[in-house]
Amino acid sequence: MKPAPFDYFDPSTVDEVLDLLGDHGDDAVVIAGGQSLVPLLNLRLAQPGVVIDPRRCTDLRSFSVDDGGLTAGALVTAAELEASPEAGALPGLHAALRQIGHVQIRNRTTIGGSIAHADPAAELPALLLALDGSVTLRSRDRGERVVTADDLLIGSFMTVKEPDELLTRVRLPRFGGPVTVLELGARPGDFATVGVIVGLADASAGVTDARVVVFGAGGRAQRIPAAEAALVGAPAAAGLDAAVDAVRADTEATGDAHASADYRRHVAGTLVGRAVRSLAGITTGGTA
Amino acid sequence: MNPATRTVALTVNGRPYEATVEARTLLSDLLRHELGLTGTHVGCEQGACGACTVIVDGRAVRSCLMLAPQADGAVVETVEGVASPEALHPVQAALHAEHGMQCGFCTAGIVMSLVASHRAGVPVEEATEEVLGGHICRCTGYVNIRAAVDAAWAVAEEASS
Repeated sequence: MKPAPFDYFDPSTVDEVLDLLGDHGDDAVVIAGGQSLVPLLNLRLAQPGVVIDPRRCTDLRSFSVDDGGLTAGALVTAAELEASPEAGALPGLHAALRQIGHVQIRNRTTIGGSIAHADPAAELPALLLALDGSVTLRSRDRGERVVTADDLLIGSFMTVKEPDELLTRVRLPRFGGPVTVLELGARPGDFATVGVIVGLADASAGVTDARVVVFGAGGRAQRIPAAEAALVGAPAAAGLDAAVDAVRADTEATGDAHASADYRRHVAGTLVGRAVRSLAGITTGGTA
Repeated sequence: MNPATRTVALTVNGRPYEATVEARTLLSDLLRHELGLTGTHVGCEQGACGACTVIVDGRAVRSCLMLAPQADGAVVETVEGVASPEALHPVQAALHAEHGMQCGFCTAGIVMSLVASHRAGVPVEEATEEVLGGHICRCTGYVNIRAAVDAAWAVAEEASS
C-alpha cells in the first residue's frame, strides 16, 4: 500500500516538463491533483520510473470564462471552478463538478488530470464530450495540437495523448440551454454505476440543439446521436420516448460486479428520461 | 540530489519542519513517521475513507493522496494543532459533548474537515451531508456526529449574532 520508488521532478516551466516527458515519456507519468494517480501508485497498479509534477508551472493554474465558454489551464481544481460564479453559470459545469467524489477530493482534483485520466465513470470527460469541448496537447518535438473530446477519448482510461505529450489546456464551450448531470451510484460521491448528461436548447418551443451522453456504462463516455436527433425539431415532450428508446438501444455497456450491461442500458434510458423531463418542465408520464 | 529523494520544507501547526525523504513518501507518512504526528490516522490509503484528512493551505485534503514533495512549501494543519492550550475547538467540543464517536479512528479526519468548513462558513446542511459524506465511520451510524455538527454550527451562529 505504498508507492514503488520513482524519480521525482517538479520543474517550474512547461518547457522543462515537456523536456522530461520527451526524455522519459514511456516510463513517466505526470501528477496533477493526484486523486486518481496516487491510489494507483499506492496499490502499485502504476509503477512509473519517473513522476513529473507540474505544480510550479503557474501558467497551468488560471482559467477564464467568456461568452464562448471556459478556457482552463490543466491544473485548475474542481474546487476553484465550483467556487466561481462565472464558471458556475456555464450550463452543466457546476452539476458535473458537484458529483466528483467529495469536497476533500475536489479540493485537489484538477480538470486536466481528470480528463487525461479518462476514467469511464468520470464526469469531466463526459461533459467535455457533451459540450463538444477540446483539449490542447503539447510536446517538445511536435509542438501543440488541439484535439476534440470525441477524438481524445478512445477507451477506458485511454486517450490519444502520446506519452511525450502534456495536456495543457481545456476548452469547454457554453451550451445554448440548460444541461443536467444525473448519476446512479451506490452512495452519493461514489463512482457512477451509470450516469447521463443531457442538454436541451429551447426545450418547450421546439428543441434546436440536444446533447445526450452516457458515461460509466462501458469503455468511454458516449454520445447517443439517435437520441439527440429524436429530441431536436419539436417540443421535448414529443421526442422523449423515442430518445429513451434510442439510449437503451444504442448505449454500449459492459457488466461487472455492480451491474449487468442490460441494467446499465435500462437505467441510462431512465436517467435520460428524467433529465429531459426536468429540463423541459414535463410533469406528466411514467418513471422512464 | 538523487531524484528519488527530496528535502521537503513545510509548516505544520505553525512550526517549520524540514525532512529529507524518499520522493514516494506520502504526506500522511511524512506526518506520522518523520514528524511523529500520529494523530493523523491512515485507513484505506486510496482516498475513500477520509481518516487521514488534514488541512493543506486552508483546504481539507486526503494526506494519503498527496506525495510529500507536493506539500513542499505548504502550510499544513493536523488534529494536533486544532485546540488551543486553554480550550478545545468548537468542533471538538461539540463532538465531545454529543459523543460523536465510538472507536475514534475516523475522528481526527472528521475534525479536520469540519474545522475547515466551519472556518469557511459552509452552511450546516452542506457540512452534515457533503462534508461528512467524505468520511467513513463504521461505528456510529453518524447520528451523534451529525448532532455534533448541528451543535458546533449553532454555537457559531450564536457567537456571530
